[in-house]
Amino acid sequence: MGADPTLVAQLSRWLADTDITLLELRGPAGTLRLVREKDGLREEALAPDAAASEATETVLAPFLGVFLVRHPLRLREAASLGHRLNKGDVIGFLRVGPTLVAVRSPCDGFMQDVLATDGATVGFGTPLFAILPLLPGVSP
Amino acid sequence: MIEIIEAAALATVQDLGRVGALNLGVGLAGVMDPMALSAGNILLGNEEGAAAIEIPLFPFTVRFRQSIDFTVTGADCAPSLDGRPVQPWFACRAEAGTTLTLSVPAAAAWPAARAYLCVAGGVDVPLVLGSRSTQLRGSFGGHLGRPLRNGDVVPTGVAKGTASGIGLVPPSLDIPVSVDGVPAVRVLPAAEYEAFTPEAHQRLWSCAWRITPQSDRYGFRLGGDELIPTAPLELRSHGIVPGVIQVPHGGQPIIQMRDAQPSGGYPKIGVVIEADLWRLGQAPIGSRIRFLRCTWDEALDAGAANRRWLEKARRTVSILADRRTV
Repeated sequence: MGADPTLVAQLSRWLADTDITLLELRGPAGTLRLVREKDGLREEALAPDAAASEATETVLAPFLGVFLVRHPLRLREAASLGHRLNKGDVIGFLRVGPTLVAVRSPCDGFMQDVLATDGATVGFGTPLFAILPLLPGVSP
Repeated sequence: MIEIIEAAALATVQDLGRVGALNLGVGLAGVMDPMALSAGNILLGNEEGAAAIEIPLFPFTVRFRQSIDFTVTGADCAPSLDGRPVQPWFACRAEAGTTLTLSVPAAAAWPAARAYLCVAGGVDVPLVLGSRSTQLRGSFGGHLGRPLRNGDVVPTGVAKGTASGIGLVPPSLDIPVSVDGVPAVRVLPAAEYEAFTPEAHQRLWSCAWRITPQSDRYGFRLGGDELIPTAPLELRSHGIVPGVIQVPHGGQPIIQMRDAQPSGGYPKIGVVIEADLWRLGQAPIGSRIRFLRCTWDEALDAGAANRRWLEKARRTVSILADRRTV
């Protein structure tokens, strides 16, 4: 998103009349941020790659187990790509013997990528999912 | 306390059954899928035989009057708590006043007919002849000796522990039995096996038997090839147990199930081993099942394999539960 000066000026005027401290606009060409500071609004433009790596939440395996993208009873994955997620939604499973532990979304957002192979044994800390948070600044 | 908001027909309180009362003419009763009941109780820290609600027809809706841990095992009926999905075969926490809804089971990796609502502390109805199971034929046990109705309030016991957030893989997926891709149960030849023709023997072991709509907790009527004895058989009524495969005059077998009467007079061609009755108990109407001939030792081994699965489940659930509290 090349910072269109007209758009930035318009957004800045609207923001000036609100309590909003951060506005983030994401598009295919990048991310625009307007951050309110003591002396006014600061503009940040992020390239697509930087924006993605900064914005994505990576969900890590909480311990060793067999990674599953669907409940063993179900034919469909718990959360398909692009699926809208609420914080706490079950997005996958780790299987230890006959036991299952749910892997949950750390935030509201969208399922962006599955980073591990369904059915593979994964160790503690293995990246399992990339989640695109719905709102900036939401932490797990 | 659990309040029944919407009960389709024939939901009942059941435990592992009223063992040791056949001599009084009182049938076994108990859950159709004891593995699902025990697994649910393991997830909740209950004794394995704690009573639960068996649900064969949907939708089914309850309201929890107090905060309680629960799990829904057996068939996957897309459980949701106040509209939010909860995972089947997982221990979950319900806050007081929340509503649990179970829907008609959808296509699943394991087609199954019955769901079990297990709660921490178990369903606490009075013991009758040593069991909390509903004895429908005699109208005693369970909740007032009858299926649950809308508005019923069912008491729950005191929780002993919990493994909230942990689930189990259904044992049907872990220790499956099938023949040529068709779910199977192991069968021992019974007293009148030799009275049937060689053709009947061959058919018994090779037919994919259909579970007809005339199938319920009392017995399953099967559809398939006719099983004909070499000569007409007349038997006096004698003691029978769940699992017995009887062949009435039409040649279409009937398998006695948990609510079977304790005596009958039809010729018995075989008996489904006790260790596989849970598999049969979950077979949906319209599905097919194969009979797999086994030996006495194999029947005992199958029971031991069920025990081993449950013990492993209890062990791994308790290890994970400990880790989560650290």
